[in-house]
Amino acid sequence: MKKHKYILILLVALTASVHSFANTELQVRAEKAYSEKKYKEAITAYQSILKEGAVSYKLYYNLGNAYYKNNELGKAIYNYELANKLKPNNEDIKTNLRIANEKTLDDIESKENFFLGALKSGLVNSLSTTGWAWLSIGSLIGCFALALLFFISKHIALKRLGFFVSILCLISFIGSMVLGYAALNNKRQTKFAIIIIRETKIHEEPNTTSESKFSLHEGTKVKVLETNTDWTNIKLENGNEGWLKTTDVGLF
Amino acid sequence: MIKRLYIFFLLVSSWAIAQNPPFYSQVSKTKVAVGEVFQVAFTLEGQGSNLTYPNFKEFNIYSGPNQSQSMSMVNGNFSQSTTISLFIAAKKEGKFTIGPATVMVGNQKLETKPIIIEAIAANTQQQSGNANPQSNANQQQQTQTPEKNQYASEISGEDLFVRTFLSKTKCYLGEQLTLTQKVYSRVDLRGFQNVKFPQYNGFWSQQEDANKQVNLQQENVNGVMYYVAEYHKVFLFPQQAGNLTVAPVELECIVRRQTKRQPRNIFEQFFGTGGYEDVAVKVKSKAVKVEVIELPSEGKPENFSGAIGNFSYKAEINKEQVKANDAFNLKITLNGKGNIKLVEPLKLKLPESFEVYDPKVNENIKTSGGVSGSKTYDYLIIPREKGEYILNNLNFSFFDTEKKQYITLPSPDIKLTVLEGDASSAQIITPTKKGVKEGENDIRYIKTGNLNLKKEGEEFFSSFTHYMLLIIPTLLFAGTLFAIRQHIKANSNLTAVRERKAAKMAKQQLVIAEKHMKSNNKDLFFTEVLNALHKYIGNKFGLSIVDLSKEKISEMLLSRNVTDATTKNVIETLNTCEYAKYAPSAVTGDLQKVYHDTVELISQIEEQIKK
Repeated sequence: MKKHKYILILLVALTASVHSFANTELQVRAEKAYSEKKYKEAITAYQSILKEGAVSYKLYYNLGNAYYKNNELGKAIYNYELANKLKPNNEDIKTNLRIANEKTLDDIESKENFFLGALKSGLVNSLSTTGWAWLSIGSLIGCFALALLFFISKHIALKRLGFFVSILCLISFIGSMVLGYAALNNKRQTKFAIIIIRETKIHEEPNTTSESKFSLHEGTKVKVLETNTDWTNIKLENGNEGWLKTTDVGLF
Repeated sequence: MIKRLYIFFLLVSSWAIAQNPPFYSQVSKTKVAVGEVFQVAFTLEGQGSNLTYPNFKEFNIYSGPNQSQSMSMVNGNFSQSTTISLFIAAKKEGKFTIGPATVMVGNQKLETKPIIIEAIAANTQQQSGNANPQSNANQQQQTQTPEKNQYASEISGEDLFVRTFLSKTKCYLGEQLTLTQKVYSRVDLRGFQNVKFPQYNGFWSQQEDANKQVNLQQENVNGVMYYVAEYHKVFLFPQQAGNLTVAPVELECIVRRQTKRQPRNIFEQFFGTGGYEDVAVKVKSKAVKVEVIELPSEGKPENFSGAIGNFSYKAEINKEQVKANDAFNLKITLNGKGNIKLVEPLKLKLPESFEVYDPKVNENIKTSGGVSGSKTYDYLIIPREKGEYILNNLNFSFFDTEKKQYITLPSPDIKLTVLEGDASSAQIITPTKKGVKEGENDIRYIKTGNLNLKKEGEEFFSSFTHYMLLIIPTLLFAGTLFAIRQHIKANSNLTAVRERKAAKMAKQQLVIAEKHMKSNNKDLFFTEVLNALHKYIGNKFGLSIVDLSKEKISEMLLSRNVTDATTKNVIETLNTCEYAKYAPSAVTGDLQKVYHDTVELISQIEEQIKK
């Protein structure tokens, strides 16, 4: 029994520390530049960290802040959204994203904000995928532990407690797995895009010769229906559809 | 009727007595339409007898013959006349002669001249038709020669009609047309009523000032003088291409004419006022057609906003310097003639950082002598970025209908300097969005410290580790559960445990004994063997050490199916051990043998009990 416990602790320790990057030098440089209001330098430094293949919600958040301060609203919002995807419901990200969104030009009336849809996405995004994973593990262990309590204990009250809490833990386990998969799906699919240039034309068809229906401005969030290297088919919240150049948007 | 015309005879005919033959015939018309009722009359001045009139084979007689007589005394001269009149209509087209009528005056037989009537097809009637058919019956034309058109109170189409004039019969879409309705009259026109204006379908119409007084003018139409009243003028702007029809207008003209009523008193008779009455006569104009053609597509300017006519324009701004995110006004004034009311606001081509709101429109439009006036568009504009701008893309285009071409008025160069705006004002001027929470005007600071960087795309959820961390507890749980179950099973009977453990304990005891055997410590060796046996049997049969008498032992062994021989051996071994314990020096036997026998005995008992 004691041996097994050690293995478990070892495994947990491994997962937590397996890919820890040492980018302290770049990070320090970026933080210094940011505090001295040299936002371009900060952007470069944070992007160097990204180029090494390392991500974290804090990194995206910081990069978003640097872009915002450098008056690149579209890229700022895009990075906030990336951060939000990695860490849903973070108060700092939400605040900065809202402030940035106040500055966008396009005011698109939302037609589809169904209560159930909002509830579902709220539930799925209430934890990150990693959060769901740990919750699933914790719930399962809790379920087993309390089941053992139920089997071993000689007191009827303890037995009863063990039984019910164990069932609750089981439900929590199943729920966290289901929601975790949904969150993972959300994360992997490209569902939205942010306009990252000042103004972009929305075309009827994916070519420059087709008629442009309307324009969208920096920072506007659109739904992505389809995307390839050149063109992206988007849909606005008010139901309008069209194509725009993939280079004009940040996909996430 | 006779009374009605009494005065007439006196006034009109007195002069004719001397020269005109005393007997004559007359018709109200010589040129009639088939079926049109007209009057024929034969009049004898003076006295006569046997007045006969010709037959009217070619005509239908509608009324008559009516005979009327009149007598008058002027300055002592007595005069008398007799008239026979008929209302007839031609049966068919052609020229017909109304034959002479005869009368005997004294011994002399007088004849009238024949009259030739030309009847024409009915549908080539005059444009306005007979204004008031009933009035025909009231009238008695007294003149010899009707062609002379001496004024009478009969109101025919020739006397009163409405004409519609359109300034053009072919025009461009949106071009201004002037539509005039005129009443032509040779009767005493007093006014209009119940004017039914048509719906100008396909046109946008603008009426000339309605309160204008209607003035009568004289106009010569085919050599005849008419009083003309221009009572309606409207400016039309065709809104669709093709052949458009302006529907006819209907109205009632109020006409003053003589009454057949007797003058009420001497004053009325003298001044003639009582002899007149106002009657309403319905008249209707003809529909007019106009061909509307599309504006040429060739050379149509991009910013053409539908202005047609002749315009000038002006663009100005109220500030030359403005802060970014502060508003300024751009005022565009149009001046000119044409469809100014229909001109759409200009599509401003401004730099992209300019936010333009819908303009405030002011109109000042006059409609006398054509639609003209001015229109002002006041645009509110908010520049979002600082810089020097020249607004020179504010061209205005219109279609000149006289030159038949598009004319683009060039834009003035408007210079505008946009200064850097206050950061705070950017949020104030977005009223549609929610206000920012107090103290949250700026973004929150970056995250310092450990950034918790991870490899991109790495995902803990559904990874191998995640699954392992789920599977391992499951296996542990299953294993533990199994172990517990076994444990519970095993602990269910405590005696069984002791029984099972008896041999094991005995063997452990014997191991100690073996040690003593090797060190040749006889005393302790036998003690241990005896102990081992006692403990074994005690455990095995659930007996305490006190109860272990030899009789009891053999009894228990036998009852548990142990053979007699084994039982005997057990007792013997016990005896040997006890004897050796109390007198160890007397023991001679082999220690080794005793040890082996004991082991052998225990395994024998174990074996036999199981059976």
